Amino acid sequence: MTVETRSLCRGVSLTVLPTDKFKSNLMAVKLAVPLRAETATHYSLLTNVLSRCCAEFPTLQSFNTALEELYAADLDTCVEKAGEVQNICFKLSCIEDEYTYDGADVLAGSMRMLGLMIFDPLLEDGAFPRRIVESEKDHLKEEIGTLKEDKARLAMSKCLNLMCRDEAYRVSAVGDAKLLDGIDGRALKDSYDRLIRTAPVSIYFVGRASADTVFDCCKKYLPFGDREEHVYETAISPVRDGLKRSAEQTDAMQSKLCMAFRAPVTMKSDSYAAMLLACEVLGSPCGKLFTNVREKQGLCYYCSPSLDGVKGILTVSAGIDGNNRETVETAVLEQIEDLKNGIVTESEFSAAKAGVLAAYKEIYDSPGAMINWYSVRRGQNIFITPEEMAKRIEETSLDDVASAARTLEADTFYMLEGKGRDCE
Amino acid sequence: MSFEVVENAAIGERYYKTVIDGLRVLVSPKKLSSCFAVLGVDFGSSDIFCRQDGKEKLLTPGTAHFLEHKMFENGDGSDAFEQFSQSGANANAYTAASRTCYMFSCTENWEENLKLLLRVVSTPHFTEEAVEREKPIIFQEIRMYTDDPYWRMHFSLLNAMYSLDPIRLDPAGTEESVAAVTPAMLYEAYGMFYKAENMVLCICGDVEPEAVERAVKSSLRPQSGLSADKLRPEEPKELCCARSGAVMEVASPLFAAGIKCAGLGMGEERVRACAENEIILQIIFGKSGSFYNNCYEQGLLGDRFSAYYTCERGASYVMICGSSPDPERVYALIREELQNRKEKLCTMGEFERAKKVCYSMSLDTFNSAEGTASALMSFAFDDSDALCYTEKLRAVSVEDIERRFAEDYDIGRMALSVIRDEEEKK
Repeated sequence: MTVETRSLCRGVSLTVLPTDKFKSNLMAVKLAVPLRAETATHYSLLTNVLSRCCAEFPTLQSFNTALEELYAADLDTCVEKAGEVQNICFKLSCIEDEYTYDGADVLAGSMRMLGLMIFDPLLEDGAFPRRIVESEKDHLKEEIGTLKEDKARLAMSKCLNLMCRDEAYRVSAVGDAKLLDGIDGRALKDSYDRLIRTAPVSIYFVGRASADTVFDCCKKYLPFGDREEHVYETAISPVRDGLKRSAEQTDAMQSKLCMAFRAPVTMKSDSYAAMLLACEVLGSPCGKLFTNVREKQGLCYYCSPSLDGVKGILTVSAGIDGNNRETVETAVLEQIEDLKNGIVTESEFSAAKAGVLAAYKEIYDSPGAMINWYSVRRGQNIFITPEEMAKRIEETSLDDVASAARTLEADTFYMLEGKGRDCE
Repeated sequence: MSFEVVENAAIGERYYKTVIDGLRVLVSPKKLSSCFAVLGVDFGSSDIFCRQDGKEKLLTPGTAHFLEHKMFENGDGSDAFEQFSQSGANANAYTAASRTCYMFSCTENWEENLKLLLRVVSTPHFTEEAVEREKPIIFQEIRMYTDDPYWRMHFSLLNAMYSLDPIRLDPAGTEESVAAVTPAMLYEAYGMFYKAENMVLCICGDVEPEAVERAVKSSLRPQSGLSADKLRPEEPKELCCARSGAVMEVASPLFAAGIKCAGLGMGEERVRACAENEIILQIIFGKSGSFYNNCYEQGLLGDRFSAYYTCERGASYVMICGSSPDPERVYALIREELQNRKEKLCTMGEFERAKKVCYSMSLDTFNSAEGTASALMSFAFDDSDALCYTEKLRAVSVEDIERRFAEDYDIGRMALSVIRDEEEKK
C-alpha cells in the first residue's frame, strides 16, 4: 500500500490510504488544539452542536434524512485525547458507490454533507442558536456523566486525575459539566471561528477513490485556509513524592484496582519498541498477568495493562474482591519486578513479539486502525509505517525490554471499592 | 473436491461450503492480512432443559458458560491460549443464550491454529482442582456484569417478559449455581451437545477451501453423533410482569421497553422475521423518523437510543432502549406511536429509506473477517445463507411488514425496565 500525503494548503494535510478491501470508505478530519481546561469543554460542546444540523438542513430530522438517503452515510463527531492534545474529529463513513442499487454518487454526496457540517453551521444573528446550544448542553452533561456507569473507566479516570493533578493531562477531552453553564451561542461561535481558522488540520481517507479524486473533493467541500503548522508537545513527567495510594467507595459489587506507573520511554524514543514489548509481556493472552494473577491465583477475571505511549504512562487495571487489594498489588508488582530483572520465559517473550507483529499486520484490515496509526504519529511529528515499527520489534532483545521496564516507576495506586452490596 | 460455491456477485461475496464427518465447514477466501475462524456449538446458556435417550434432564444454570471457560485447558495441564499466542494468534470464546462460540484471529500459521481450535473443542479435560480454581474467576466475571447498568437493564426486562424461559437467566449462572458445578456435570453437558453435527465451523481470510479441508481432515475433531434435544418450558404468551428495574449509578435513567412477540420462527422463517422486523424498527424508531426526532426536540431522548429484534430458541422479542430524563413518558409515547402506526404503517418514502439503511448495515458485516465468518455461522445454524440476506431485505414488501407488524407488535404484551439513580429516585 502506498500512503500518500499531500498538502491542501499550509497547515492542512491530506493522507490517502488506498485499499479495495472494504465495501465502505472512511474519512476523518482532525483539528488539533492544546488540551486545556478553559477550552476543552467549548470544543466538546461544539462537536455536539455541529453534528445536530446545518444551515441547509436546519433540523436533526432533515439532516438525518439526507444522510439516510445516502445509504445511511454516517457522520460522526467526537473529541479525542492524544497525550496533552485535544483532537476535534469529524468522521464520515459511507458505502462504496459500486454497491448502491440505484447508481447514487454516495461518496461525493456524503463529502458534501461533511463539508456542510463543518463549514455551514446553522446560525442566528451570527451565533449558534440558543435553543440548540442549551439542548446539546444537556446531552453533553449526560455524556460526561456516563463515566460513573462504567466503574472500570471511572476508576482509571480518578487514578490518572490524582496522578496528574498538576498536569494538562488530567483535563478530560469530553469536557467538564461545571463549565457548561458559562457557555453561550456567541462564545461558542468565537471558539468555532478560532478553531476553523487556526487549528492544524489533518485529513485521512481510506478507500478505493484515487488520491486525485479525494484531493479534488477536499478542495471543493472542505475549504480550509492557510494556518500555522503546529506540533503540540506533551510533557513527560517523573514521579513526585513517591508512590501514592488512595481509595474511595462506590455502589458496586466489584472493586476496581488501578495501578499507574510513569513510563518515560515514549513513542518518540528509539527504544519505544522495547517498552511496547514490556507491556505485551505483561498483557498478552498468556502474558505474566493473565497466567499468574488470574489463572494461578484466581484473583480476578481481567487484569490488563495499557500503555499511553504519548504521555508515558503504563496502567494496570483489574476487577477484584476489595479484600484482596494487597494480594493483587503484590502479585502484579512481582510480575513487573521479574520483567525488570529479565526473568521472562522464552515462550512469554516470543508470544509477546508475535502478538505485537500480528497486531501491526491486522492494522491493514481495519480502516479505523489505519487512520489511528497515522494520526497518532502525525500528532507527534513521527513518520513511521507499521512495517518499519515491526522491524524494530523484531530486532529488540530481552535485555532491551528489561532495561525499558526498569524505567517504569510506580506513581499512583487507586482502588474504587465496591461495597459488595447487591443493589437489586 | 466436495465444496459447493455460494455467491452474491452484486455485493462481491463468495464462500465455499462442505460437510466433513458431520461438521459443516464454510470458507470465505478474502485477501486480508488476518484470518478469523469461529467454531459455533448449537448449545447455549438457555439450553438447560434437555432430553437424551428418552430421559429429561435439567442442567445447572451456568454450565454451558463454565464449560466454555474450561475447554481451553489441555489434558496435560497446558493451556491452549498459550499455544495460540505463540504465533501471535488471539483466541477467545463466548456463551450466548443458544450458542457457544470459540474463535481465533491470526496473521500467521492459520492451519496450525485451526487444528488447535478443533482440538480445543474435541478434548474435554476437567479435574476437580481445575474446576475449583475456575470458580472465583467466574464469580468476578458475574460481579463485573452485575455492575454494568446496561446488562442489568437488559436482564431486568427479560425477567419482566419471561416467566419460565431460561433466556431470563444470566448466561454465567449465579454464584450459587456456579459453586455447585462439578467435573461430572461438565462432562455430561459436553457429551450431550459437543457433536460434530451440532457445530458449524466458519473461516475467513487469505485461505484456500482445499487447504481448509486438508487441515480439518488431518485434525482431531469433535465426535459425530446425535446430540440431546433442547427443550423449552411452555412459556405463557402473557408477560411475567409489566414493570421492572434497579437502582444504580447512571447519568440519566436508562430504559428498555420490550414487546414479547408471538412468532418463534426457525430456519428461513426466522431469517424472514429478522429482515421484516429490522425494516419495521428502522421505519418507526430510526434516526430520521418522527418518533425519535420529536422526542429529541422535547429533550426526552439523546444519542443513546436503539431498537432491535431478537429471535432465539423459544423466545422472540423487540427491545427499544435508551436513556431519558422521563422514561415513563417515553414509554407512553412508544405505545402511542405503535398504536398510531396500526392505521398506516409507513409511507413509501419511509419504507424505501429504511431498506437502504438496513441494506447498508448488512453490507457492513462483510467489511471484516470476523463479521463475515460470524454472519456465515449465524445463517448456517438456520440452514440459510448469509449472502442472500441483502436480497431478502430488498424483496420485503409493504404487505409483508404490515402482516408482521399486526402479528408481532401487541401493546398488550409490552413491559418496561428502568435503571434509576438513587438520588433521582428521591
